[in-house]
Amino acid sequence: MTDSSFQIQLIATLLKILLMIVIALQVSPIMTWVERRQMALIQRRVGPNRVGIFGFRLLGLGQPIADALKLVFKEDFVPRHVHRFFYLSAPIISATIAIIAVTGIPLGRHVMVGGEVINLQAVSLNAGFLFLFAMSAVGVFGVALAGWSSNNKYALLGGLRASAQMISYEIAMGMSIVPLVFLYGELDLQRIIEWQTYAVNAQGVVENKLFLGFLPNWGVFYAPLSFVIFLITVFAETNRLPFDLAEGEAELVAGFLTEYGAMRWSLFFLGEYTMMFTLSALMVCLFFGGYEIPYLPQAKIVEMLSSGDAALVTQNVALWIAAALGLGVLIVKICFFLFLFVQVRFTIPRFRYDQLMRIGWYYLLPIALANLVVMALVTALIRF
Amino acid sequence: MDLSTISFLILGVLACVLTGVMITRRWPVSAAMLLIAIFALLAGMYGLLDAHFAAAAQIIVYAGAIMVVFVFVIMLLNIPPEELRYGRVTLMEWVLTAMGVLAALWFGTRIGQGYLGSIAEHLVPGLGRKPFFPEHENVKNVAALMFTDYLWSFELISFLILAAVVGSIVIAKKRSHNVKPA
Repeated sequence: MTDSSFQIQLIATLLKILLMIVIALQVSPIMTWVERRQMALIQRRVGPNRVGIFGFRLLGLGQPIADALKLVFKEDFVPRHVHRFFYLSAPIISATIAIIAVTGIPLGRHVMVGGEVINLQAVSLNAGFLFLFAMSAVGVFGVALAGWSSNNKYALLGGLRASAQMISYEIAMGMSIVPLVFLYGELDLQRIIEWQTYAVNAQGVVENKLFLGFLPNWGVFYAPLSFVIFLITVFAETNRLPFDLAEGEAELVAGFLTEYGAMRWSLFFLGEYTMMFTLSALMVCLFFGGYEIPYLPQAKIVEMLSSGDAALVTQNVALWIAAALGLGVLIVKICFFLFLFVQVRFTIPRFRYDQLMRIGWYYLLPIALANLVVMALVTALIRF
Repeated sequence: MDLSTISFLILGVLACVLTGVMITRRWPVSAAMLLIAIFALLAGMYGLLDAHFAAAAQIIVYAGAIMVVFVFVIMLLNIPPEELRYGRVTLMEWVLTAMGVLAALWFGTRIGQGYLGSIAEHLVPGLGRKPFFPEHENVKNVAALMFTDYLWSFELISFLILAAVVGSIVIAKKRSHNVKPA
């Protein structure tokens, strides 16, 4: 690698990481507004619709800004009975881990800058999406630490519940993903998305791959049970209703959040929403073809725009256009899942703690294991 | 020195310092949290050595699963440091520890023969043999090694897990025996 190409790659990587963080940080303010509006609609209320900017109400979209201003200027209060160091670091851990995880999401295929191919995935490790898994696995420490350091029985119970729940559901989550690894034979998200989109036909031409001739070739059609289990465990991993036993307002006041206020409190929410975004993105990449438009793969868009006599733009520009389209598609797909999170929150009541444990150990794990065995047998029969 | 060497050194020194800090903590939770930080640093070092799979596994298995259980138990008991007894190590414990180390060495030469073979090959070519690396991908390499050179240790670990399962069932059974039927 020459010096200038190294510099281009370095700057590109930093820019990609920055872009991912900027996108991810928008999720939490917008989602709080979406959630409150949706809750109001479901409960036949109006919801926050007053705050606007310069007289324009925009359905109350000024609300997140007002909320953030309020939270920043609130008194920064630390109760006297807490373990100060851990109390202060718990929200930071929660938010930081979620923001780190965002960088592992692929945004698009690649673009060319100065003759360099730039992969549109900020952190592309050899272990692929295991990186995202690792981050979601350690995300619980923020919650657990918050519960312990608050030196409050409600908070401690919340922290304990969070860690027990995390362990129980992480196993089912891991088991639900293994069949996909059989299917794709890959861990790299970029290549998984490629597998779901392209096929090489008999003439050696790359074309769009379809499932049963008319459906997009998405992983969800090959492993539907894996998808269902993964979806449920994502709810559990992000501590969302119906799995938010760690907060449990009805019995634990606010669980691990009891002693927190102002910006520290909202950092936990930043972490939670960012993790929701990341895991939704992982779900989209694993099961729904990632940033590729169904029936119209990006390679075809680039080809249509830039080849033949009627070429509209050069190939570089076409790659950029395709990448921008892909980013839009990715965000649309992620938004669908974020909306699902909100819908489920106001539709399904919170589980009792024994129900939670029973679902995790008696139902999800055995089903995931059976799914794993069946998929392994099918894969072995087809391949060998 | 290039950037990755410097990062590696920083991570290594930090891990050593934090280990020292960890074993001198009085609160068990502080020690556990420092251990997690050390695991993260080690994962960073694996990553710098291009062993990305080892790094991810380190975080998922150690920091994400084992330490969550540790932290769970520590928080459940929530014993303040005043009540923890830090006793002295007796002679018998020293003897047992030494025997354990010897046994581990003996088993290690049996189990780690693939590793020893590759060291021997490195020192004197032709003495041992090179490890089997089929591809340039972490996960595939690990899988290949697990089913060739390290098959024995891999299978023995499943016995360990079996022993742990049996042990936990025994403990759970004992408790339910003591409870009188209503």
